[in-house]
Amino acid sequence: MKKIKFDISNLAKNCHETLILAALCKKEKHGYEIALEIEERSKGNFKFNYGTLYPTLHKLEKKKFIKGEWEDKSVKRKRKFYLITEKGLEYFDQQKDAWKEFINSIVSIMGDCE
Amino acid sequence: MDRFSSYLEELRNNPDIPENLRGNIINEISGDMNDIFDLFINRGLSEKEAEKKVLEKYSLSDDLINEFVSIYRSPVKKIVRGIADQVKSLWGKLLLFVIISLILFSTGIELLNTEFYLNASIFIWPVLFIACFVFLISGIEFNNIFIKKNPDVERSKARLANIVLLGGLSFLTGIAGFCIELLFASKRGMIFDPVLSFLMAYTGPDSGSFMFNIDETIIKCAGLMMLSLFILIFYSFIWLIMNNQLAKIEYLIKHFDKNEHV
Repeated sequence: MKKIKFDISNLAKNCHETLILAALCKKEKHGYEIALEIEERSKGNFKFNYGTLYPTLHKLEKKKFIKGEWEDKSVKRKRKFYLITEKGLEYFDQQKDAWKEFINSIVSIMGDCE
Repeated sequence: MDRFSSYLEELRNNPDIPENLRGNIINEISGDMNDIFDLFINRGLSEKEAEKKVLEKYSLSDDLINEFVSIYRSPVKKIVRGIADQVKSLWGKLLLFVIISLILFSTGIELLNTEFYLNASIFIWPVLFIACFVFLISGIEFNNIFIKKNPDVERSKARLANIVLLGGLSFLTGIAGFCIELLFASKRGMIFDPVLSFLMAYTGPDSGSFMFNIDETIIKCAGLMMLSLFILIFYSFIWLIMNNQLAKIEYLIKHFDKNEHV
């Protein structure tokens, strides 16, 4: 698997992207469900403005890491849900490794100070 | 109109995002806002509390709209915006002003000479026709933006885009004329390839007989290219100045809801 270089200057953006992909890796979801899942799975540590989620979703969709589809649950309300693509899964695996390495480095640096 | 439509008005009215995408984005966000509202109601909140909570979670700032704009802005607009951002500093503006003034001044003197038009290619006339038309649009917009100071922002934006497009069109007309002139010259030299024709004219055994036509063609083409480049640079400069002023007016209208004293 191709190893990606961790871009520390875009930490927040990377973090958002990876969390969204993680939330989608098992099941397709609506935008607000992704936000709710991230909040709940992080036990409230990741609380963010849900509005900021949508540009990231659209960016990931443009890069073909996720795919958005419309469902007509009722006539008056159209809803969009997202699912992860093969390309997205591959990218997510790379990101996961990069994040693990990054977190281990931080822990190791902090450990040296004990 | 649903409960949260009014909160998405700013997004709905943003012309930098293509209209069909804007509709989809609004449908998506408002659909999710309504769903999460229902979820809060099911968890026992009152309608008022649920609405307040949804709006807390979805604060739709200018940054969010700008993010969408940056995702969906066309590549041409991205380049143009990049250039406009580059010249926002005082030094950038000054440098641009000096360079463009030098180009316009040095070329402009030559364009004031009547002989230039007598010797130039016939294709300068369509180029000049487009330039006159753009001049008219620029004059109207200059009046709206700098004299009346009360433009219809959307209409002015469309007109300013037309100034750049038509400036580009006059340049393309110049290039097309240039190519046609070369083609005619090469036909006169009985060789269909313009590059070969030039080479033959200057290095071939019969170079003397071609020389007159080629020299004439070069003068025609140079004049044509100079004029079309001049028009492109001139109107790009006009666009840049008016676009900056329009952006200031738009900012004031948006944030202070007034359009006087710009």
